[in-house]
Amino acid sequence: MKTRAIIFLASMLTLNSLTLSASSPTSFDDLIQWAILRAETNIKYKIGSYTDYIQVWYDLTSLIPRIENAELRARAEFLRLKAIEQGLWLLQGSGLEGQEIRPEGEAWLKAIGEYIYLAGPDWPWNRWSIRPDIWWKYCDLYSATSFSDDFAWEAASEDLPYECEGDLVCEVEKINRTYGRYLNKFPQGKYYRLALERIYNFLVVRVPELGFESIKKEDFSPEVWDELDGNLRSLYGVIVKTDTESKDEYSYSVLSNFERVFGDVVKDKKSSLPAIDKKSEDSNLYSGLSRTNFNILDQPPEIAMALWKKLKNEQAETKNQNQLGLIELEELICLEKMLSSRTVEDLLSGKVLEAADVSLIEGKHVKHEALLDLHKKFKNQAVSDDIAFYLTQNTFSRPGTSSYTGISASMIMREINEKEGLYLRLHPRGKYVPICLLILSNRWG
Amino acid sequence: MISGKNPLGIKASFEPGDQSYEVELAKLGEELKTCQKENENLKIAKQALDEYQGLKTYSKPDEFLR
Repeated sequence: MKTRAIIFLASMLTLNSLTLSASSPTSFDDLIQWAILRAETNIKYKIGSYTDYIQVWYDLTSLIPRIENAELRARAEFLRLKAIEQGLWLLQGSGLEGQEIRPEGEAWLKAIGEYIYLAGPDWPWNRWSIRPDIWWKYCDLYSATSFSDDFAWEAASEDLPYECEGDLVCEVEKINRTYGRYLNKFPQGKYYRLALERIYNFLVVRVPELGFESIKKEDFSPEVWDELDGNLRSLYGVIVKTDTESKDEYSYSVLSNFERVFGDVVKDKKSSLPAIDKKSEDSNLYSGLSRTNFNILDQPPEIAMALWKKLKNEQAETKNQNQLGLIELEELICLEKMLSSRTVEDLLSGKVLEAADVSLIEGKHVKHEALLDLHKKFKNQAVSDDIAFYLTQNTFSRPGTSSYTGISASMIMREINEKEGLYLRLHPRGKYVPICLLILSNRWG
Repeated sequence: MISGKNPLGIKASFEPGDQSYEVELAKLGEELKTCQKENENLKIAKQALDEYQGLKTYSKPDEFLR
């Protein structure tokens, strides 16, 4: 029965570039090896017409479901997609316009419909191509095999179905979605150097061609800037990762050029207080906090009261939004300190507080909601980083806050999520990330 | 209710069958993964994620209280 099946499958395979007679497959494994060898030879040496690649595709399609070995199956799948690529190229010549496709070609196009799309449907040079997401899909599907890297590289090299027509934002997004995505998956992959070369050419050739020497925020509208900023940060991340893992001079030169061109973007500007060096691995990170205005809490209440009055005057005159955010944060810290030694009634009768300030208070503390509102109000300003850190670390008035002893493990974990977790969620690239991580590490260390 | 030393190094109690610890642990894991991606060159970000993985392996009630 098995022999009959093999003969049947062998009879389905049409010979083209290789001669079967001397090495006819005698088992299913032989048959697979033979079909793969033939496909590799055709693809490598670009032998045959499009009908040969159509046949390779049909042959592999019939065999693949029966291949059990993952590595071999991935190899066959890879060749099957390459056969589509080569077959399409030969079938379409320089474009579909004016081309007459023979019936076997039409039937094949229908059979491979889920793998392809018509690139540039309105262009005279429109053509069918493999959908890039198909390569990525197989990259994930065969992630445990050595071919995952090859699928990813094909995906990165496949042209995306749109033209950027000289638009920098679009070109950066394209680079990020292709070579950036490849490097993110395989920073030390077989093709990492090629991916870096593409990015390097973009930085030193394409960016100047587009009329830029370096990129500045003021050259773009806020919406466009947000899009560009996101893609550049993501791309920068993968270049740093590749450089860290490869440690070769070429990756470092790509990184240096990226920082030269896009330095304004990647430089961390998320905070305004001179507190912490984000890059520092200094274990004494807490010491940085004493250099911030958070230390008002460690001062006598009289100092907080004097500062409160001074800040109220400054607030009325300040136009700069970031500065205003910082003043309002400092006011709330002063208020917290004043409440530690005076009642609200005392502060009202002494004309330190006005009636409107009472809405910021709950019991003996500044309301947690007041800090959250402040963060929302200044969320687009650098100072939002400092507000976030203060509000997640100073939980005097948050309901349900309790000590870290004698409570359940799930409560401890919830509190960690509400403090350090919340900060990391609000500002994953913030200046206080190292401190938060150190706090976490100390808690469970 | 069982009392014992937990992976946080703090005396706490753990209710067998209580899913909320795992839910909270998973939430924190997401933040740490994002943080590590966003701060590739920060050793402490990688270290925190590694330590978190250590916590995860202890997240089953019977192992948790060893």
